Amino acid sequence: MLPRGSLRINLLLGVPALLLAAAVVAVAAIWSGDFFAAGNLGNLVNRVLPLALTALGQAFVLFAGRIDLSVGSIISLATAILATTSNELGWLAIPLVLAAGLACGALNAAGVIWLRINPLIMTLATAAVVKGIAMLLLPSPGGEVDYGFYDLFYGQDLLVGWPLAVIVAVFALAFIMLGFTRFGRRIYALGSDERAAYANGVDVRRVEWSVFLLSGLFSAAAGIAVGIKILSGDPLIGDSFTLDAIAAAVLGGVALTGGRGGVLGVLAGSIALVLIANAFNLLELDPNLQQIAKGLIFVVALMLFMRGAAKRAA
Amino acid sequence: MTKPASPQSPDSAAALPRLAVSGVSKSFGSNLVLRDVSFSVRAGEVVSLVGENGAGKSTLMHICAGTFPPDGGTLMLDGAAYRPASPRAASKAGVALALQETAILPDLTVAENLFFGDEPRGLLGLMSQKRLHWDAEALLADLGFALKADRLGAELSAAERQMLEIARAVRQKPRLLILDEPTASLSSHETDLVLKAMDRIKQGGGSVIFISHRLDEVMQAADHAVVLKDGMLTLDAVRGGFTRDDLIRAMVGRTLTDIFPPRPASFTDKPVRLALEGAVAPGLKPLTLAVRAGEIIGFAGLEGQGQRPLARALSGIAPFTGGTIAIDDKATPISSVSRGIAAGIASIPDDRKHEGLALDLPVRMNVSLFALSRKSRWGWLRQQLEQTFAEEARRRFAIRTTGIEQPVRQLSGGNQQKVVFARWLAETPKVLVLYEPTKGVDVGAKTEIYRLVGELSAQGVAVILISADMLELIGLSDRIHVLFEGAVTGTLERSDFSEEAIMRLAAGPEGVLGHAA
Repeated sequence: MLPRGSLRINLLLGVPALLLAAAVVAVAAIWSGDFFAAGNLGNLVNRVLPLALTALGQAFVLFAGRIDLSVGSIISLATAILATTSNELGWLAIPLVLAAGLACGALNAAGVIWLRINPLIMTLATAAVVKGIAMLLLPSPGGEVDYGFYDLFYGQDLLVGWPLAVIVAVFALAFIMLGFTRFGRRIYALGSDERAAYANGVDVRRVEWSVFLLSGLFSAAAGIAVGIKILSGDPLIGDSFTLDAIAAAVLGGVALTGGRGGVLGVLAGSIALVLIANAFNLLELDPNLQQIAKGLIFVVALMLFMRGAAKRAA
Repeated sequence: MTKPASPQSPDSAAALPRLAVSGVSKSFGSNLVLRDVSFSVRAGEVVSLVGENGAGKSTLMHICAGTFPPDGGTLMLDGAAYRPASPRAASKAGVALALQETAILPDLTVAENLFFGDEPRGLLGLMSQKRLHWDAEALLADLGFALKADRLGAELSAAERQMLEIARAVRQKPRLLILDEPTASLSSHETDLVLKAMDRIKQGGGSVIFISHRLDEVMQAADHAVVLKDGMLTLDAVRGGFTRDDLIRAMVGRTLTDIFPPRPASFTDKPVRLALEGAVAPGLKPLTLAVRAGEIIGFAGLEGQGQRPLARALSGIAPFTGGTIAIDDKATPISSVSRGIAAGIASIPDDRKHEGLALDLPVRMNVSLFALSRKSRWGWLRQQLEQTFAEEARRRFAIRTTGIEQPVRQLSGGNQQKVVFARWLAETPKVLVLYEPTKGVDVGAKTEIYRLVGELSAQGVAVILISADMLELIGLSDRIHVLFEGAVTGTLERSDFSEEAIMRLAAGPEGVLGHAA
């Protein structure tokens, strides 16, 4: 048995999201016979992938007690770069996009660390800058992503294809890194109490650099997944991801105040959000209701987990 | 851990001090906190650093532990120049600091806090949760600390946090262990365990510097005492070369009778000003209390035993939730700060930076905050009145400043506190609540504050003094109530005042029984 420790606590924080995801599956399966059709399941995995990647990057930042509002713009930029360069560069477009994501993360980190700008404001500013660049590159949805990418990545039409493999591999790595390495422990320590972390020898700046870079990298990876899926670029497509990624993390038990939450919760939260959207589609409800539902879920999740935090503070 | 933990060859150890501090100075803003401090610590020695609040002890220890560098002077560790750039660098050099305001990570368990940054690793170099847990339990059992390894940092009491902090420092087997008021929140049993832990470090060839306000403890444990007063060294003597009275004289700079105002013998003929009947607040058990006009009632206790809830309830910040409160025989629920002010309660908060002052505003605006609302007309501020008022306050409270337009941030701690007093005492209150009124205040300002409190009490103000400073409680109070876990466990009359008597009551009912047995 795992001794009671931050690892176990953070694992348990993801349980409500897992239960919610299971409940949505049950409801959807009962009401709509199409839910377990192979096509729908594969489609679900493909939709979970970009959200889960973005939410994971965001979670690293949240664990450290910061926030990144630029993830959506980074996704848009990633699709724009991919759609304008993949024909000429081929596979080299992938590392180019990832590098762009890292650059965005570096911009966030530089503002927060060197200029001491509040992360909320700095990443909001970065979001505007990055979106502007995406618009300059690709003023309207379009461009073209090499079909070869799609064929290889989404083409097999299998449940256990590349998208699922990527999710499993990335989350397993993140789980080990956060739960079993000193680097991971330092991230939580920083989010838990910055002054105490510093007094315990945590290099605060280094941890901040790492989490913003990781967030930029993961958002760019999510953007690649989106770009390949739609076979084009769209300078606005990432917008909804910013709130969705935070919502997925919060739903998965991640504290916005830092120091608490685990990656399995983040994955469960992402799955739950995608499932809810999917259920709305299958039940043929008004898509605008979906927006309202998402917002409400976010608020309810915040309330539930904040009550725990308030109890702790008392 | 790397090499520093191992003792060096005997011949060099005999010659070189473990830590040599020479000519260290430090100031924050215009506030000179340490001036030209020199002393040394030998290997295997326990040095007690004594001084009043604000004397510069913590600053000195933070310099030794790498939190910030000195402005001038040098440090040598075992004969080598020692300039730690950060707490981590100090820890690598073998210097561990257990803080007074503890650095426990709230979302990690005791075990995880204990081994933070030095976690045992298992397979593939990954951290092993199980080994971490076992090692922590073994260490705690070995020290005799009653702490469960799997509790979260956020769940620990002040005393438990302190014990964890000490266990963590001991674990690092430091060359030099610095303990900043390790026993402030501990009962006598726990204090004994801490003194034992210090002994262990000593046996292993390590040195200890410990800061304490409890002179009994200093007399018991220190091989060597160093006293700071207003940032300067006033005593440096080895065991046998100093007495308790020497320490007090060196701390305060004069004998105690000169500092504290004389107290009348009896108050029985005075009317009851403040009466509490079964008053409760979160963290405070039903409290019944009668304070007569002019009386100064002290509240003592270990840290976190209900002092804060009491101060906040009396001031209306976090009001009483039950019971009755009467001022001058009139039922007066203090349901908010503004009601409290209207009822004649003036309350000096312990945290003047957050609850008291607008640091970047001038003295003028800070002192006239409440007075102004009374003196304004139809919501318009009256500049002339404000200026006259501020000038008067500056004279009456002896606030040392370049002028009433100087921002409060630039004043020393003592003068900032006088600004807080000036604001609250624009009109004479009925009840004055003092919560750690001289925290971070130099002796000169302290004396002035005590004189002021004495004057107010002579005018019939009922004073509640909640403090951790034993000398202050004993010197100023007419009666002392001792708090333990939110309840008054004992009351001492002036004739029975002693540090020992307070400490015995502060340990709670069990501690009392333990002593009786």
